[in-house]
Amino acid sequence: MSEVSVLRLLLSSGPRFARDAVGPVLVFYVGWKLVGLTTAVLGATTFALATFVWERRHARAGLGAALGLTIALTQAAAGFATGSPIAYFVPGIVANSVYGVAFIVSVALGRPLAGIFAQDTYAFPPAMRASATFRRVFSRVSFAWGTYLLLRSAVRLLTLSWRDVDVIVAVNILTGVPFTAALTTWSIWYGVRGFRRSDEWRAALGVALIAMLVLGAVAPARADQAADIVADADRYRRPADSFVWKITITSQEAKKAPSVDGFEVFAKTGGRVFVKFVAPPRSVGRSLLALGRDLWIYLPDAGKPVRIPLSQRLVGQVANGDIARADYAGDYDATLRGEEAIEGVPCHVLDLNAKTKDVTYAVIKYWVASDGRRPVKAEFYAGTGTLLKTGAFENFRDVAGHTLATRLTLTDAIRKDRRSVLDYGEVVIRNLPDKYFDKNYMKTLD
Amino acid sequence: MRRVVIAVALLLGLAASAGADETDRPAWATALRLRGRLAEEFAYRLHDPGDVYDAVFDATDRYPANVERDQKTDISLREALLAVGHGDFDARIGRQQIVWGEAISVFVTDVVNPKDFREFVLPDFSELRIPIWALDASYRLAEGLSLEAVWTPDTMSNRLPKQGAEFQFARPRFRFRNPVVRLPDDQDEFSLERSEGGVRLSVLQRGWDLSLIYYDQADKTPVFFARRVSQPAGPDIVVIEPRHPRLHIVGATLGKSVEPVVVRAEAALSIGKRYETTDPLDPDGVVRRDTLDWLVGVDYTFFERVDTALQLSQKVLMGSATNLTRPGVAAPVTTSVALRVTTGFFDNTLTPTLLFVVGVNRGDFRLSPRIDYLLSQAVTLSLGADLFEGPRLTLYGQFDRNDRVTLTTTWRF
Repeated sequence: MSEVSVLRLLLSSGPRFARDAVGPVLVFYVGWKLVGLTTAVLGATTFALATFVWERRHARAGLGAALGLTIALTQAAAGFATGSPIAYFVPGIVANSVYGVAFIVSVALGRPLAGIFAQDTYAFPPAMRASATFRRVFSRVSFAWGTYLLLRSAVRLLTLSWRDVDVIVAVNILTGVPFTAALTTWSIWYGVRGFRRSDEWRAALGVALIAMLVLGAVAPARADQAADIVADADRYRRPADSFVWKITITSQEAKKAPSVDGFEVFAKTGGRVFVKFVAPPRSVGRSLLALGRDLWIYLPDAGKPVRIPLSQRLVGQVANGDIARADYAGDYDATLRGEEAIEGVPCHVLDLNAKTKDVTYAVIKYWVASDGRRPVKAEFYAGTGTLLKTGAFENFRDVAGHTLATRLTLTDAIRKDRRSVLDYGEVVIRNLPDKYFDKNYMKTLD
Repeated sequence: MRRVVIAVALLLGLAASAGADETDRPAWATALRLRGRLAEEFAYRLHDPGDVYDAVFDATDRYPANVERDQKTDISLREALLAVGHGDFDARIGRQQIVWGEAISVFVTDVVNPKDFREFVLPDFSELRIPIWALDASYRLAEGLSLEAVWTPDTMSNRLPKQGAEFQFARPRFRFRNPVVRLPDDQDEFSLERSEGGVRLSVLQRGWDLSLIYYDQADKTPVFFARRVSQPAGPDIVVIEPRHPRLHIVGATLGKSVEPVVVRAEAALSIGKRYETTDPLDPDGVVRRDTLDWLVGVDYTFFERVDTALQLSQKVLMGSATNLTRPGVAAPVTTSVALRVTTGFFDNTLTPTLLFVVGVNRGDFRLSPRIDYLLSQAVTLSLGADLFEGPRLTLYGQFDRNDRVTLTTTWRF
């Protein structure tokens, strides 16, 4: 954070805050004045949606935009259901009050909400997020935001009783833009100052800068080596260029009885994977097709392939991409971070950063055995830096002439008692027809 | 709430879940659902009769006899087909559902199968589609490029609710001063002469999923033509005759994943579409209005837990909507917005879903909350409601007095 200035953060995030705060209201007002309620509601909703998509396309969590979109959708529903421009503003006020309460409650719980929003602006390292300084600084920021949001809601609620859209919009903007801008400026200034002045981080920030410079000089050579390591580790997760593999996923949560799901995976070079659901009975008939990073699910009820994102959860702790994509070398840029022993096995430690946003996880911390380059362990992170789950690669066996990891255990990062075990069973290596990987053929293969 | 449907299957399901082996399919279940491959490129499939029996007609006598006859029992094969293939060519011959389109829960380009609207659009879409006997052939021209052709002599039309049924469609009352004779709908269900068919060209390029369609069919919903017949003595007789005018449907679909958002769009222009009119000066009581249906939708999962789908759709008439009588055709441009929100708790054992569809023109809407509880790996309990609001002659408002609560058990085997 040494090279991070308040001005830089403000310039990068200030306009986004302002856009999320007043953009939809302004679009609504213009649409309502020029055309009518329907256009106004559709315009504001489209604006919120476009903002949200823009944020995600720029690999940001887009929390502000996501909240803006949620409010816009609720407002659209209220506007359409009542046909009243006044009612359109009610959900926003209610949501503001809820957020105000949430900010204050988050302080009481010791998990300040402002800290989560701050990660949208600056990628705090995990150690920094876990520190007392982080909690202290963002607790105060959260309290300030909570108070402001509650006061703002009260003023806006009073204004509603005048039933004049012009006044409501004016008060919305007056209680929004200046205060949001001021509070955002203060929050960033206070956050940066809080870390710079803390005993905990003042020294460490200086060391971190030196480390960044040193690592930068040796980075290219280490990147080549890192990519090789990841490519070698991938081979333990893929038996051949074209094969059929039976996979059983056993998902367990706390003391509940485990659920078992069965799949038949048809895979071929070029990132082509077709997954057939074979158990339990309620899932039979479903299938999944991955062509690179494009994914479809076939549901018998829908009767056609339907586009879905890779990151969507398939079952238990398993995302679609966990089964449909096994190409870490192709999907991620690897950086070698150092060496560490996992249960006595010396390992390379690698950071894998997604090359594009179209993958299941934004970041993977990967442990690969130094000897033989077998995958050993992985930690999977979301774009916000939140640890989602951990994975352990086990049961290495010779299958069809290849040594393969035949078990992957995924454990939820927060609820350690939630886990899914992927057992890779019988493998048939054969040249699969290309049409198996055509979405229009899914109904024939289901 | 006027009607509470309690599925008899609840008890059966509970009993079954207690004793069922959840991993292996019981032998009798296998007998009901035959499928297999005789060779790599030769498969057969035969399964699942649809709804067999609706207990509500024995539990109450509030429905007229014609409705009971129409809806109490219904046994039909959902699927019976042979699939053959050779190289890049594949064909499916038999009774089947052929589903086109990208969007979920709408019929914009899902035009091949007739629909069963006896319970409006409330059942699952796989149940709404009526299977037809058809030939569905496809050929992969290149990687990411395929051509599909469909032909069917099974020209069955949509099944509509009878007079007095729970979800009978609202129609404005025609007040003819003359005597009226209503002719039956004698559309053949099987006709080589009036057979239907079309083609679909599908392209997948850089993650863009595009298809172009053309389909030639008879309108699946009857259009009531009126004509006057002179009588030698007495006033003219008005003869109301249901007909199924020929439609030429040209459309396109689009799907694209902009991780983590999925975008879908569909459009279909029905050329030759006709609607009844209340204009007393119209000679046959029917006007032609070519109709464009289109939609755009986005799917997004919030907080990695809450699946949300938002869809905006419009029906655009090529001409005036004055005097048109069909619910859901409120204006030259009829707009609706649909929002579906689903999440899962306890490892998706408990899955609440909320569907909200609103007709923008007149504010009629449908609100359908539902909770599915996975009782076991094979048995699901569902508690849901369908609430309608709006003016009488609107798509959802016509069922304003038909709000319902449902409790359902589904046993999949």
